[in-house]
Amino acid sequence: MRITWLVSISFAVFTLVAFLGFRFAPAPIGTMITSLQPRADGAESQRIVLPHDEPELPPGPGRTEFATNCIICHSARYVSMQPPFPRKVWKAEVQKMVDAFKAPINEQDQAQIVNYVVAVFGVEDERK
Amino acid sequence: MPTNMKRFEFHRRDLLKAVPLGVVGLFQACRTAKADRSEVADDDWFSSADLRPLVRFPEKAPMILLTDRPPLLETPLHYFREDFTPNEALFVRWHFAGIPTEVNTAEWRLDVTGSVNRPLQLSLDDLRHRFEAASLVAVSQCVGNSRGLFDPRVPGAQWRHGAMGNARWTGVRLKEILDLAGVRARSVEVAFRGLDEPPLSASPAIERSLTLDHSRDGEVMVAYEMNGQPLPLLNGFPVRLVVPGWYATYWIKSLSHITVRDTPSQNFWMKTAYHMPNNPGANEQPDHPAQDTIPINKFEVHSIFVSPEPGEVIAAGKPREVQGLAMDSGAGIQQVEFSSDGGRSWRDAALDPDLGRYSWRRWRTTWRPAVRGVYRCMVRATNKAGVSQLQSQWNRGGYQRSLIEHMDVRAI
Repeated sequence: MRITWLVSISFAVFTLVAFLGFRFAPAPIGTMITSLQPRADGAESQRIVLPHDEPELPPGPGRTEFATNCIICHSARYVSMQPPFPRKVWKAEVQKMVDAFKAPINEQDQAQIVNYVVAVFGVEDERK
Repeated sequence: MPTNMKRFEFHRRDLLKAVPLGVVGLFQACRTAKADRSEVADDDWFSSADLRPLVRFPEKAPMILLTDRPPLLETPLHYFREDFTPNEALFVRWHFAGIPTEVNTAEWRLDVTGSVNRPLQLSLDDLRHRFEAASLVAVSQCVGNSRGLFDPRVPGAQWRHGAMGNARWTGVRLKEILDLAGVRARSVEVAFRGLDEPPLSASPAIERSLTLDHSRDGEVMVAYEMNGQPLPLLNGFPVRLVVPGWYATYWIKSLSHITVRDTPSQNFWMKTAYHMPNNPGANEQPDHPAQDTIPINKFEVHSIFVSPEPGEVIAAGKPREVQGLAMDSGAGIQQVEFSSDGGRSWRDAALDPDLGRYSWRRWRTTWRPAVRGVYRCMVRATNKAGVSQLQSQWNRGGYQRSLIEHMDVRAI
């Protein structure tokens, strides 16, 4: 009888330790969960810290205009991940940022941004 | 040069023999044709190894980095060998850099307002305990999934096939929430907003809408669990909308506002963005863009290869399992066919058990590449409504990929 109790209690303790161990085990290296606060209702509040990893901007004409306008809203990777589109495609993309997303970029800067993106990530339009 | 002729060589006497036998004989000749292409181009995204960088974000496995701000993270293909995509590996796509990085569930509320009799402010606890829990398996897929494979290329997130995932979603049927709020007569639409914000206040905040009928179909869900666990923040903690069979642009993450409307939404996100040519297959020509466009909606029929992976070299003369995934918007996958000769001949693949009408369906077949060479493998799916995949497809958004996929596989 006592042995059965002992076995049961050991099992319960083992389960509890295993559960807590699993629950509070350190996050694997690389994850950046800064807090996970268990709440009374079982749901947990969450907070994460996003990694900051901006790519280098290669030199080129219009680099300053690109860096001071485009990068405010999004990573340069949005541009660098694209295949080498021709100037007319990039022009339309910059226009979309201004028209649809209301980016406050004056016309002179828009032209310089297109120049930079074409020089660094794109190609000139094919002549017909 | 016609690529088909380059790839497969016929002996003249094979053809001469085949002619009297007619079409059937020609098919046989094709089946025994040799694969004679020797190279797979390094820049061929269909057939070369994926060398894009991996990155580790909070709560996520190492994912393919498209951009860091806002995070666009693609699921590495090997995760698709699992029927349910692990939460840590589900793709991540946000439009604006102002994404929620902290949610205090003690304060968080889901607002239900607009054309309702009783506006609601629901806590996570309310959602979990005041409603019956519903659960279903569904693929979440970005409408731009596979955009990087469009030819000619189009601007946008340059995904391969990894902007999708399959999961069991658990939450509350939207219908029950709307019924509790009491939708007023003459309401037509329900609009959804999340906690994300554009970095510029002038930019149009994201709000997507569904018709009232769709919202009350009993399947659209406010999900608080994915695969039995809370959602990662990057995938929409604490709740996201689940719209089975519809592209994920409707699956608003970190859902915070539900507004019942008595007029159709005319905002940028419904009126302009995410529109596709109004024809089956969402097709248009680069020189002649379609004038008639409609908002993105249901999944097209599509199928992909999962194994072998692009760039994988396999053994000639030995049987090899080829497997992949097929999906549609809910009719269900009826048939998946595999070709190892560039589409000349097709044979049925076996289908794994059905996991639900909105789940993807795994297909498998055993293939023995007879001799060394490069084989053009292709896969096409047909659903139970008789809809199959497209022989050619292009649109300016790189949306709704439904093209019959190919992969050049080298056997040595």
